[in-house]
Amino acid sequence: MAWQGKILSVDLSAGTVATEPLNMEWAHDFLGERGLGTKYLIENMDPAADALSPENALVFATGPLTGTMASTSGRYAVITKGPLTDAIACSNSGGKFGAELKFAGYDLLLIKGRASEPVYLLIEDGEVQILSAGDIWGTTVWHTEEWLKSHHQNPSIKVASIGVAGERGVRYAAIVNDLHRAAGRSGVGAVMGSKNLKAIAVRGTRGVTVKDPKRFMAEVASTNRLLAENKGRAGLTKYGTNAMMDVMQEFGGLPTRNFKEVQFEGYDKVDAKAMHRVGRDGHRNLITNKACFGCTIACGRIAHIHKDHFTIINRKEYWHASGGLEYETAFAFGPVVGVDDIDACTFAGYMMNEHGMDPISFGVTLAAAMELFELGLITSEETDGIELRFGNAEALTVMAEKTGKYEGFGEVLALGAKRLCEKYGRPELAMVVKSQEFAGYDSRAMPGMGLGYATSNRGACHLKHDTFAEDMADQSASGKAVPCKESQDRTALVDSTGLCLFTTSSWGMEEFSQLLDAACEGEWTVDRVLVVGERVWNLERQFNLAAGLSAADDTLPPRMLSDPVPSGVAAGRVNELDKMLPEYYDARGWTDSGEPTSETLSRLGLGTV
Amino acid sequence: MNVSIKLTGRLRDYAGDGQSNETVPIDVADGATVADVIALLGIPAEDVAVCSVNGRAVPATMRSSQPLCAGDQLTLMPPIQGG
Repeated sequence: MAWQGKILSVDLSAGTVATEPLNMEWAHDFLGERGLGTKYLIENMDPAADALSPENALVFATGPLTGTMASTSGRYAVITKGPLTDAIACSNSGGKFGAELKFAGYDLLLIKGRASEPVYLLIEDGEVQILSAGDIWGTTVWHTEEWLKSHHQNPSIKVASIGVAGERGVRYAAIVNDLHRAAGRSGVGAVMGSKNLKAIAVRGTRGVTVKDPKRFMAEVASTNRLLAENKGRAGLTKYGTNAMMDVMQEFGGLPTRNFKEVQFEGYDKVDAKAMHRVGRDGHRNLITNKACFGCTIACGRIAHIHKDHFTIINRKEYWHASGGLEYETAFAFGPVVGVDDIDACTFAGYMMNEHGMDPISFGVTLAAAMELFELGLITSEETDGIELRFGNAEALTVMAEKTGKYEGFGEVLALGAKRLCEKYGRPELAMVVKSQEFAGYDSRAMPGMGLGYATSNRGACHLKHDTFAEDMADQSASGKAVPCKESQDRTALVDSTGLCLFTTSSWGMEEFSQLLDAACEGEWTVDRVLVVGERVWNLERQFNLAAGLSAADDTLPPRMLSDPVPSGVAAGRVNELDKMLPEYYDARGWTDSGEPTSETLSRLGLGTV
Repeated sequence: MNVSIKLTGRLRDYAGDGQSNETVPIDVADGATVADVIALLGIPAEDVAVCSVNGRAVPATMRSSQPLCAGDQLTLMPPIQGG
């Protein structure tokens, strides 16, 4: 019940597919999506393998609640070893693809090996074919999705695919589904490209059954009501996540010009209000909001660019409405590169979706390149004549397109911030943890965020813990370690259900446990689901340790540890990671060197990796 | 006395038009505290995660005791979540 009970195992080297029973023991221990996908990954590859080699595996995993009536049930996750980080990658996406995969009868896709020629996977209600991608290799995500629907004469097909960025190994290439939803982080698209797998096209018409339908519907009604009445949810619906920009601006946590500053003078030209503002010729950037499958929040943005803007003059293919700015894209194309041109930012977002790239990593990598340029370490001869200075909107949009197409200086930006800064001899200028770029929150103003970045298993990430309340209440290092650990475990649980993290504006573990208990076989108490979350977190840690990472990787760049934050409510502070990390390890039941003790592994029912 | 208020994020809705980002001047009683002004605006206390006066954070425990001065700028920030 809730699980379909089947996985699809694909060996691209052999060109074979096989439907296999879902390992229900693992499902009961790791639930689904992020947790279950990690278990399948670990059991099917050596964590020490090269991320871009055929030995890496690529898992697309739904959760038990994916495709059900529960709100936000469109989620799926891609789990693999990330080529950006050489650590576990678990990249989560919405849209409609995940639910469609479940409706086709599969909980999970396990993809191994490498095809000898470019291929795509066609899944139609349990009928699976590996087909030649010769006609679409080298084309964009947007073209690929259109081509597949047309070629198979079925507009209901849902597609997850990569662009040239994934094909050519851009270290932060994404897998994009439904045109503008993405499994964005850690380079999962480059892994797909390394396997010569261009796309997965899926059509499913089966339903999802649950253990107690009557009770489940009651739980759905109850939890939907909580979302409907919640002010945080209402804010997400009306303004989208970009409502956070002016909050971060006033707080002094808005990373600006490669994190040299934390407040951006042009923030009000790229924030949620700017998206709503009617400007020249009656043009308004925001057209409407959009929901993923089954979602009653609808935080997504649909926007368009003024037709006179330099990015799209005589380029009618970009005159249509498409995915608009969210907080992280607005931060990554705005403050962190010093750009205050909302149309340029929107165009850069189009490039990420069309070519399949992670906007956070691209923006922070470009910010590092801009700092290197202004220091004279990168010259305009290398950048195809583009002045790579902070605030140059043309530099942003041209480099976004060049990187997506893997052309010119885009090939250098494709390295990601860490490898780029190492290339120019200034590794300390890369704003990364475990080689993954920071999101739009400064670790000095928000110490719990810094601890979360430092300890995130997939490298710097703002979505693997939740210490926003603690950071806003108090900007000292005190009292951050335990909330960080506990929220990491809760987040790991939510990411394993098939539902969206944004439901946590209204729901706690009680609501998740009730939904799971009504849908899934067995008994799903709050205590049990919390243990699942902690188990998933520790399993990811075990993967990383086996991959060669250590406590030395649980750190922050020198700028965060030594350079006082220049303004805002936390002015003068640095991140005191050294005070938080020992307390965090202790709360986790790990040794001083950041390894789970045998008692911790035993308590969680984990073996060795 | 006159103080100015800046509402951020979804708290903008309490300013009426939901889109205003500018600092809005209001008259309050002499000696009004931060908590008094939040109540005057009709904002539930729990909807304010951080408030600052002239850019300096006011701890939640001080909201009811810290008086404002004429010309102060009070900025109110709602709880947020990553995204």
